[in-house]
Amino acid sequence: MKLIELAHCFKNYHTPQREIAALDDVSLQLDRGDFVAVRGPSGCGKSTLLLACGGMQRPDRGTVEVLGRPLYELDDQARSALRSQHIGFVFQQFHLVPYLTVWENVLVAYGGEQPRDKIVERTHELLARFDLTQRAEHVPGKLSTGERQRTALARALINSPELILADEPTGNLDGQNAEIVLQALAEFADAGGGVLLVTHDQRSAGYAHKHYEMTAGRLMEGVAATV
Amino acid sequence: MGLWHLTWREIKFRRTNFLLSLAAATVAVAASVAIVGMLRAQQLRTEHQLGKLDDEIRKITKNMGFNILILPKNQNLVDFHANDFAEQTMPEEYVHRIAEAPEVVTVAHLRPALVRKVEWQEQGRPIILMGVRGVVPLLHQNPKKPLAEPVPPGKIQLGSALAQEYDLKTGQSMLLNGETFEIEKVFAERGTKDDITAWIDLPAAQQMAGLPGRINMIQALECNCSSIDRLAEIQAEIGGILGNEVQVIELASQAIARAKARNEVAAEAASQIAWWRRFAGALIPLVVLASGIWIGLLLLLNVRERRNEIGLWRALGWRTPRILGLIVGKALLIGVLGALLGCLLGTLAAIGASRSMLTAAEIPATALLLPTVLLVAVGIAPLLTGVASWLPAVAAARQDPADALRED
Repeated sequence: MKLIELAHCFKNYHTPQREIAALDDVSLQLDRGDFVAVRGPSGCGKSTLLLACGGMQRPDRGTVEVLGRPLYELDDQARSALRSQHIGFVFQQFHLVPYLTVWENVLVAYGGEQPRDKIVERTHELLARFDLTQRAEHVPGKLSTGERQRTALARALINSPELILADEPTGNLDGQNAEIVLQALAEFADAGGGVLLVTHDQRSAGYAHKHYEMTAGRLMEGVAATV
Repeated sequence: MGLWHLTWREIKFRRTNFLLSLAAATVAVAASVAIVGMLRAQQLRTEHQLGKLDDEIRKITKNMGFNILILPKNQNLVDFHANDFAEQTMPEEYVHRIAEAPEVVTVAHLRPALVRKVEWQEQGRPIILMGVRGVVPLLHQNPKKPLAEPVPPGKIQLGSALAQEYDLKTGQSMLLNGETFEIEKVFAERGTKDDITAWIDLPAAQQMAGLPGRINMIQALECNCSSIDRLAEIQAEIGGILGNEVQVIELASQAIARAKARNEVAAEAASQIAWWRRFAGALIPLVVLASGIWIGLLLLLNVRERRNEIGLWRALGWRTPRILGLIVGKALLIGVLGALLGCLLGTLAAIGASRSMLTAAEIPATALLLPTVLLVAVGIAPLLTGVASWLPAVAAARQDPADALRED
């Protein structure tokens, strides 16, 4: 069973001036252990692709299956449950909750039913893994950008998902922190998870197993750029 | 992580928005509670004033005794006032007809009497002889303590001047026109014709006067009715029972004047309270509506401010009811806290504004604590803030997470 299977997806945005094709007959498959990078200029449809795979942007046409389930044929409750239990998100802007501490930002994403001590243990592990233990009680406003993205990464992993959808996760990071994030995503894929990364970052070339280029909503198989 | 924990953390983070919303809810509840409290104070003061006037009327009436006289129709009133008693007589059964009539509400304490100026033959001096019996109970009114006790057969009660002049004392026997009576009571000096009056049992007086079954007046006490022109009401009521066989006159005017004043005060107070009620009835909904709109706008602003956060909740798999709960829960908290604060401040404001009224009427401030009003406020305020939050909550729930998450 594929983690993601997009088939002939179309998505157009309508503006008063023109129609923008964000997805133009896009098909994509992602298996367990795959680390797929999609590169392309701003506005080419990368984020739309990612959100469509995450069940938050219904394509105008085409089908999206996640873990063999037709995402947009599920009701809101089932789609939310699938997202909560099987998909982790990482965003360029981190989207951390500003009034919650690092610890709480990670914990708040937990959507399972494990006993509290197990969740606490898992949170401790993730904070330690991303070198955030000392920052556990700090709110995002007190963190560096690298620490914020590492917190977002820990949050994406709290539910032990099978799939991570990452939207420009290194876009705001310095080299060292970008490496940490890409390394973590690669390790996740190596452990049997699937990663769909949309990025400008050439550094992803060294980590992703498959590369795609996206232009005006069209997805084309590409080659790894030289780092 | 529970919704309440998130709500509490968010409130601490965005204090201004929360405090402004809380202030609106507090003002709405406080204004409502204060207005109701002040109305209550006014009502209590009015009741106190009326109570005082009622007391005065009771005292005056008690001192005055009977203040209504029902006289035979053909009695000339000039003669009545000149002689101090009625020459004409009427059947004693009239008193029973009044007492048995269900429509009698304007008078109480009916007492038939036969009064005559007679010569006390044994002493050779004129006295006023009054034959009385006990008060006839009105069958259709609640029993009242009799205003006058009957004189038992064979007994006599004497005015002070008579007793003093002939050195007569309680317990002695005395002769009155050939009949022997035991002196049951000697009254203290009243400074009226009562001082030269002797009271005996009505049948004995009727026999002595040769007027069996006849009386020449029925004494009564007018009730404290709400009407301004009470005598006319009494006349109409008695006329309805006895036709034109009798006439009704009123004695003394002090109690009547007080009663009229009391009724005027009551009418004025009722009118003022009614005005205040209308005012409150218009003001409270306006304040509540304005606060509700204000809270709704602040929550809408809050939802817009939390756009990315709500998009994130969506991405994390939160379902619509949970997102609605996050917004409505905060509104309910604002409502509960606003209600508690508003009740406290509103009550204090009502006490402060009504201090002079409360002091004047010797009413404790706790009388303004109306549990029902406070319970209603605590129950309704969260309901209203919940309603006010509904549109912002729906807006949050309908928000497209893709749009929110794409924003920088």
